[in-house]
Amino acid sequence: MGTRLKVLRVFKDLHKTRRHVFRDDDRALTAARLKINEEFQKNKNETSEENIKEMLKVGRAVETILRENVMQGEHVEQNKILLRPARVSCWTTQKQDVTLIH
Amino acid sequence: MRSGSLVHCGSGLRNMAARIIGRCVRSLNYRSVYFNRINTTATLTAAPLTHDRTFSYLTNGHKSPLAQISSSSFQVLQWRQYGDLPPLTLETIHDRVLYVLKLYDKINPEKLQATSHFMKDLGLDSLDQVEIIMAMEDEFGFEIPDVEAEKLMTPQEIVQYIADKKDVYE
Repeated sequence: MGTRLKVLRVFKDLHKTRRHVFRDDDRALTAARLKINEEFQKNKNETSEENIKEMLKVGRAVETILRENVMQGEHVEQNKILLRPARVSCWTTQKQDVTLIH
Repeated sequence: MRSGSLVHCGSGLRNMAARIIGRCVRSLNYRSVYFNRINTTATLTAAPLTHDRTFSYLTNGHKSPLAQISSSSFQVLQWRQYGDLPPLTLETIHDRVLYVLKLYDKINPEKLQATSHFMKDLGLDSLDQVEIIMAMEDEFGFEIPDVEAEKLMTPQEIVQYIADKKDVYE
């Protein structure tokens, strides 16, 4: 799988995670979307393979953190937040390129 | 309502008819009824309703043992409801694809055609194309593999791909 496809894959996974983790929260959704797009656009013209690999590693780490460490909560009363249960299963059906790059 | 009933209604009594029809419909339980009003004046007859029997339908030509039916009547059709989406046609796929594309903020809706190439005509790049394909996956409810998603560069190609995957012919 070429590097280009790997990059597009990480991009897609980030957006899928964003859509799931921040669902129903429009403000967070748009903010996250703009951030992801901005970061990818910034490094669009990178040519060094090493740097690209590093950035992909960061991207995958971000995706993992978003998926595993972010919880949604809703204020129900003044001092009470109702947490939304996290869905454990992975929602992407394609398991491509899950191992770390060497 | 367990017994048959005959309701005459002119234009002034439409409200009453609607209420009585509502009562009939509520007793149907699992079946839903589709009303198609043909004319302003109407005569309605209802056959006895039970849980097992299907609701008899009334059209212009149907002879009911209960009463006569005037030439203009409520046409009551029964729709079975199964848990599935309406069937896809090439046209609906086309419309939905274009609708989703118009919602995308980087596309100018005026410039969008069925044959506009994302990269050459609309000035998008591969990241935008991935976002577009994700939106299509979301709209149509099925995953598009990366290898094939990469090749979809115009709305027409997307429509064709979805039609192929969903077995839509014309």
